Amino acid sequence: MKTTLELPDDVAALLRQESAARGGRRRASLSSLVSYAVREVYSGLPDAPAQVDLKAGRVVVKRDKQMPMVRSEDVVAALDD
Amino acid sequence: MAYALDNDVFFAALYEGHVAHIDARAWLDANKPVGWAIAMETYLAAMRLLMNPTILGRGILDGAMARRAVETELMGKYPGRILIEDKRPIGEIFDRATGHRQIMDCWLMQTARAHGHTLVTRDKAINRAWPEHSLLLPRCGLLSC
Repeated sequence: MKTTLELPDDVAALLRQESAARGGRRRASLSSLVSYAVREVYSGLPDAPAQVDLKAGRVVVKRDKQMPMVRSEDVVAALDD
Repeated sequence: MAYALDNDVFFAALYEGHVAHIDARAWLDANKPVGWAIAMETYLAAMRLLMNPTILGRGILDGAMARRAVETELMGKYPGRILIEDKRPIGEIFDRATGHRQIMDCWLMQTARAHGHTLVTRDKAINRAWPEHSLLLPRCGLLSC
């Protein structure tokens, strides 16, 4: 979804600082940082854990529309916390 | 030569929502017969990621299911090994690190090398640093996918 947010100056400054600390906008765009923060704060308890295909030697955690697509950068950032 | 998957590649094989899922899943399925493993740190990283709302959103798993998912992946006709390195970090690998985020990569490289495994990664910097001990995850449809 494309939208416009009006952010207080301190929040915008924090976002810029965090983006710089993570290697700049190519590695950590403002959109990705906002998404990360919202998921972290508002996800709460899972209403429906992901469906998992459990076959010995071949496991796939299914993604439904409510679940994020993730990149390698997201994995690194999550493990860095 | 057996393979050890790094945190990102192993998680990509497990989670359908990872941008490299198709590549990682296909590569792992095709190469398990060669011999494969993950470091204990990668096992724990996979559990952490499966339980992390910034990664799985509202679909996060609980600890029991996250552990079961990893254990079940390690089973099957070609079971995966868990690699445990009990040496201290060695200078030959760690002295090349230029940032804090490379430390886990260095450790996984040391662990894979110590057990005679090739580290499978999507990180081009790792592959450039240790080309003889790492493999860049091939795109599906190329090489052995």
